[in-house]
Amino acid sequence: MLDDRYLVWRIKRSSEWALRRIYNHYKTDLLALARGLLGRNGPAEDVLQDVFVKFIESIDTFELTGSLKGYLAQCVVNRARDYQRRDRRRAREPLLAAGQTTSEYHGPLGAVIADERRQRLVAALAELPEEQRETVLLHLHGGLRFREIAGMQGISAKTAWSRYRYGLERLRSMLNGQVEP
Amino acid sequence: MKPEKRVEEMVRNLRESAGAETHDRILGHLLEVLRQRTKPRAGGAPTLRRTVMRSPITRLAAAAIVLVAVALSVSFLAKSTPVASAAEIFYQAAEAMNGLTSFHIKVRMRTPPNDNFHYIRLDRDFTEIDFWKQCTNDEWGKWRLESPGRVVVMDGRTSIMLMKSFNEVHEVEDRSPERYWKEGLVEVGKVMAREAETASQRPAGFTSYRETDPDGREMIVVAVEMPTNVPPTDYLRNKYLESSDHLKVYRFNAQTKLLENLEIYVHDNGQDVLVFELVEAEYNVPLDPGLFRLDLPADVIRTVAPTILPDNEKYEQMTPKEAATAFFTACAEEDWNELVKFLGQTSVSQPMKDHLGGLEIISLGEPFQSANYRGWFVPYEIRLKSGHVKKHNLAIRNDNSAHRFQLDGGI
Repeated sequence: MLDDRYLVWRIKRSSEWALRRIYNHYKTDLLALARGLLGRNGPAEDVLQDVFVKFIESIDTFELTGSLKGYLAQCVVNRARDYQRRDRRRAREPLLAAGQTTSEYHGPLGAVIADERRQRLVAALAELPEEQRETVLLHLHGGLRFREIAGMQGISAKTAWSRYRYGLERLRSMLNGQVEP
Repeated sequence: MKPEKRVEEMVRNLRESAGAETHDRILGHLLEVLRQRTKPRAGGAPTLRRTVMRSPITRLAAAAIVLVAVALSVSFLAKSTPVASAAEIFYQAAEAMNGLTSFHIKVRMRTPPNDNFHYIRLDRDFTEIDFWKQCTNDEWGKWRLESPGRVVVMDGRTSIMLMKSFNEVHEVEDRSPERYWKEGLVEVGKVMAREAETASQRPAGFTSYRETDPDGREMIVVAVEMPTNVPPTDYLRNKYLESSDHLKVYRFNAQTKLLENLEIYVHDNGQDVLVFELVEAEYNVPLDPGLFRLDLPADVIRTVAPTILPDNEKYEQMTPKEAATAFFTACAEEDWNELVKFLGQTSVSQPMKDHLGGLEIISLGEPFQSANYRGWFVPYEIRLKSGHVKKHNLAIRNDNSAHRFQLDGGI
């Protein structure tokens, strides 16, 4: 991947090429993060788009101090929180409608099994306390280190790590038989 | 797998992207936002101008504001524009590099291990290349440039290159390493000075900024976009840095001004392919004097400038295709006395005899020229004695004093 600072510099000079590079590089992880936080595809895509629109609109004054992915992941989290606050009453829709999963299962039957497992995992993620869900997703999809997550959440790195471990443990117990050694 | 790891993997696997259609739609919208951002806004400015210009007092105030704004912008630009700073950074780096007593640089580059140092191949794995230089009062000092297939040593007087696979030696009085690798970092001070010149003349392609590396050291980064004028369909496109659109990202130590890293990306079909990377740079380190001597094997073949043959006219009159035909026919018939006339060397090396002897010509295509190369390329397909079929372009050129076509590559 090209240097993010260089690409940001190019976008400041209206380079469509650089915007494509950044979007294509981070879209998958950021969308997964948004989906994990919101539990639905449509809103997750809206959040992804909103985050990038704000990024472009503020590009003239934008100064990259850490990792760009970390910055964008934080924007996704903030935007997802806003979305949830406005949208508390809306029920969660199944996440699976728009995606295929990486799966060890093959063939039509395999796809059904993978689909069911995925549904369960999404439901389990949705059941996690918000701070644990955010921590797990920011670490696994946002690629953020615990120190960075701690900075975002205003907690210590140790607490961020604990939230992550508790989150994983909780997911494991909710999924029980699905998580074979 | 531990249950926690399994859960991590499952969550990671949720990261499948939306369909291409969704991303195309989002990206299309984002590009439109970017375009709108740069469009001048119509309508507002003339109205404001008319309002301001109605009164003499507001006219004077507006003039004052404009003057202050111009003064501020001049001052801001002088401080912030990357133009001057990139050139200045390179000049400082050139000065720092020229003050060294010795250095060793290790790079890796996408190139075949036996090929010349200029050649890049985007589809090849990386080959490591080392360069050592002992600086002296003399401009050239002593140096050694080495890849797995080639080594060049300059002992202060002449440079000598050993091509390991064919056991061939090329010796010239030229002491500049740039003869062998202009785009590399072998004359790093000169490279920096050239970049500084370009940054002064063509500032738009340069950007610079500061960053802190993982060890907390402050670094200065300069990124340079280098476009090529070689057409995308040209045979030599992307075979050399100068025939590719590429980006160079230099990283200098902000304190010492010395180069610590360089990455070069070739832009190819929407991809950025890393083709060159500085792996290691050691400055002012003691170097073994033995590095600047080359002990040659006893049976090396020396290259020589082509001389006028008794029947030189026959070869002078050959077309590129006729020369290629004669070259491969000599290989097929193992007529080494004939073959050597196309090689510019004293005799044919045993590795070359083993490689090309008894080959079968399957086909020869129409010769063509490419980019700024002064020779010709002749497409060929041959079957080697081993049974291996090789399809490539033979590079030959006749811009020598004997005006005979000589092999220049493609074998």
